[in-house]
Amino acid sequence: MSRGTTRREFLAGSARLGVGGLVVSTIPLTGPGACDISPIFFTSWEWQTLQAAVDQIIPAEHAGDWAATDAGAHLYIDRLLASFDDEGRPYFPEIYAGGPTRRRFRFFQPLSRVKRIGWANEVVRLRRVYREGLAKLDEMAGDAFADAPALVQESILLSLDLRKAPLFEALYEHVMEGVYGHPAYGGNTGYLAWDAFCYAGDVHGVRFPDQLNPPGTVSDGAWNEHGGYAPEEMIQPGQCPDGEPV
Amino acid sequence: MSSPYDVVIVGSGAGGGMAAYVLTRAGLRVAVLEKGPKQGFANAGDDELRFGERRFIDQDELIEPRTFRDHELQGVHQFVGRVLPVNRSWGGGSVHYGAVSFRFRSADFRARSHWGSLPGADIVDWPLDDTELDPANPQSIWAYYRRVEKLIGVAGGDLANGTPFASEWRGNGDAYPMPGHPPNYGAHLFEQAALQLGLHPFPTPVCINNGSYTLDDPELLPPSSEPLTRTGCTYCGFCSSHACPIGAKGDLAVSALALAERTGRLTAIPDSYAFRVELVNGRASRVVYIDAEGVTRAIEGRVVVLACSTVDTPRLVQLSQLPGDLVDNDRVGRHLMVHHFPGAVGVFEERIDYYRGFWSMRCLDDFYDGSLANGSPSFGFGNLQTVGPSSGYPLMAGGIISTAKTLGWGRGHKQLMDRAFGHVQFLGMIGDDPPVASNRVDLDPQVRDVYGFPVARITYQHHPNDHLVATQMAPHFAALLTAMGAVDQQLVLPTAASTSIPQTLEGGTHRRFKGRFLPDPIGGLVNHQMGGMRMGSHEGDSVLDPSQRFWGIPNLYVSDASVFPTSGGYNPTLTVQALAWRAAERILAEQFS
Repeated sequence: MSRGTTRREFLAGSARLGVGGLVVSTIPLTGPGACDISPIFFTSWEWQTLQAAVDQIIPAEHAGDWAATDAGAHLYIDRLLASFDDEGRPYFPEIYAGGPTRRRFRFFQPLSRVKRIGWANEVVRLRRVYREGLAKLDEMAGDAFADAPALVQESILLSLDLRKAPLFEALYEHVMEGVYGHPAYGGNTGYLAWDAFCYAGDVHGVRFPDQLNPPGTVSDGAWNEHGGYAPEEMIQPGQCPDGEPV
Repeated sequence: MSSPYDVVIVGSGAGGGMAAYVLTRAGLRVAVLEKGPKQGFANAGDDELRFGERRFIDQDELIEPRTFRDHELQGVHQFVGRVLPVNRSWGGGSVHYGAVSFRFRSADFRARSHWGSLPGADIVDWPLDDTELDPANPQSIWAYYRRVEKLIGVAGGDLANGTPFASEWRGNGDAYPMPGHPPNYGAHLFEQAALQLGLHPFPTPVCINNGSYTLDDPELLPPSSEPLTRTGCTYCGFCSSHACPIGAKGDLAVSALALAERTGRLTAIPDSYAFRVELVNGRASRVVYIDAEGVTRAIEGRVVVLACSTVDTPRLVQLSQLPGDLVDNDRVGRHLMVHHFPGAVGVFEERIDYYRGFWSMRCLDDFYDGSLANGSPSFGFGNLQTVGPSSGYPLMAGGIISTAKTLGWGRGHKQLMDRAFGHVQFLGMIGDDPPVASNRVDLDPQVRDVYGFPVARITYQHHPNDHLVATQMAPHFAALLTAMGAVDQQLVLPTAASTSIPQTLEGGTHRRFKGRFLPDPIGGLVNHQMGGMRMGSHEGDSVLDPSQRFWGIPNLYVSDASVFPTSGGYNPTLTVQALAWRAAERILAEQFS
């Protein structure tokens, strides 16, 4: 842990729970802006290990820079793994956001029978991959992975990358999805990653929020009615959008 | 069981949906089975994670994986997962495609006559007779193209500036229903560069509305039906890989199938997975399927049409174990073609924002018949396009998630994102792929899907001509990107992975070491897939007759890209739809007159 309370201090005051136990407790703040969010799937020990690993995938590179946990990548992963339990029973089966516009993304869609089967199998597999893989990180670090120096953490992950370890494969995909996906899935907190790269993301209904035509007037283009890019915008070089996405 | 339907169609995509429209409009009762869901706009949206990464409507390897090997000698398979994916939802592949809507040229239907033979490949002419290629004939393939273009709403190019083949390809007075779209910035640079090099760029024809589009032609609407109006494109960029949330893309669900439903004679059966076609007395009698609740059911039809796409139609035929005296089962699934996709990625200092607009906004045909500077080619090249905005493509020209996944991890990731995201433009050629008999679809002996049936196995290896084309095109890609102002570029060679079949080479798409910038050979770029149920003029060299009907089974037809004898060098879907219309009219004439 490079920031905030170290896990050692945290654990000094709490008994370590058995692997596989469901922990609902408050984790100490770990960084600026972090809020009290308890993991659903991970134990508090795993939660610290996961956050350390996630921040090696996309690290902060200078003072004031953001890292993957600032964009909520760990929250995204926990939410995905909590969608089904170890027996494949639906728990929070929020796999596909609603549609068609951003306002409705948070109303997740029910899964069809075959989607439920397919995702239950996958989430059960991923839960095992993370549970065993995070324990392996501690083993490779010789002690708590989260307390190891950053260079040690990095080289452990690199060795897992080179041998295509299941934990690394999952971690890499999920960090990228969590950081760069839509916030409806639990990551990309406050559109942090999209703003960092001047990306407007889902533009329907959000790019021209104050240009919606009053009732009874004729729309001068679908981009005004639905949001999107006007034709003249298309042939201009891109720039950072003005202001924060809605 | 209810009385038999006139026609049962398996699959609601470009082939099945268009056939359903023609047949219901003619008064037949038609049932359409679709293994995916029937969605409305509420299930669409600009959500890269849902459509790209989690395969909301794409081939979902968690439900139906496919397997791949590049040669029989590689053993049972080398890869299990996502291979040649096609959308599974009401409207089929037309829901998630890039909507590029080209006609083939007459030479594409006469590949053998035009190119001659090619060692290692079985180049043939299509079984369309000369009258079908005669523009004056109202039943010609061009007439079907024209009707489809009007029905789905194609916005096309102005070909007046000396574009090769313009006069043959679009005759006088045969304009597109809508004018071409404006270019996005990358396509604008491409257009300027191409003109500077003496080439002839034009707007890529797409069935994406340029302004709102109203279909009011009584010849195309069902009897006493209101006009059908759909809104214009907003260039949001979430187009290929996505369902359009406003109906501006002319997919089958909002065009042909919406009109078929107005007739009251269409029965839609979504979330239903067909796994067997049963014959009685040598005729197709019923289709057996698993419904949304997991219950096995059967549906009877006087005529059965298989329209499950290039991979799943041969698979359904193989799962059905049709009698060998009626079907040459060894020929089923052979001559699988993909469009090999030689291309190049350019990196620009300024922001290109390729994700504005849609998949392809400008293209050119100057190299369609080969690179003139390199002597006479032995086989076709293809249409050269700018390609870009999409999700779920494992390369930098995908969405922001797939770009990030391409760029590796650790320190430096964000600098690479700064340089790459929004700064690249991809150019690619829809390379005409020679049909090779050993490239095929069959059943994997080991892997089963969640329904319990053997999955499709793809065996595919590039013909040497594909590499020849890439080599000859390399200097042209370089010249175009340089003229566009690219500060860095990389050629993409036709490894297996430049198409949407997996990369099995070491250092392929799954390599993501730290500090990578330009991608290794790219996977998952073009999903085009053709062949497997070849139609032909003679029973001895094809599975289907010129009506796309099984040679040995008088009421069993196929309507999808699997019937293609050769691949052509254009995006295939408009041709699938034109052929579907043609096949449906033949069904009416042969079965219901």
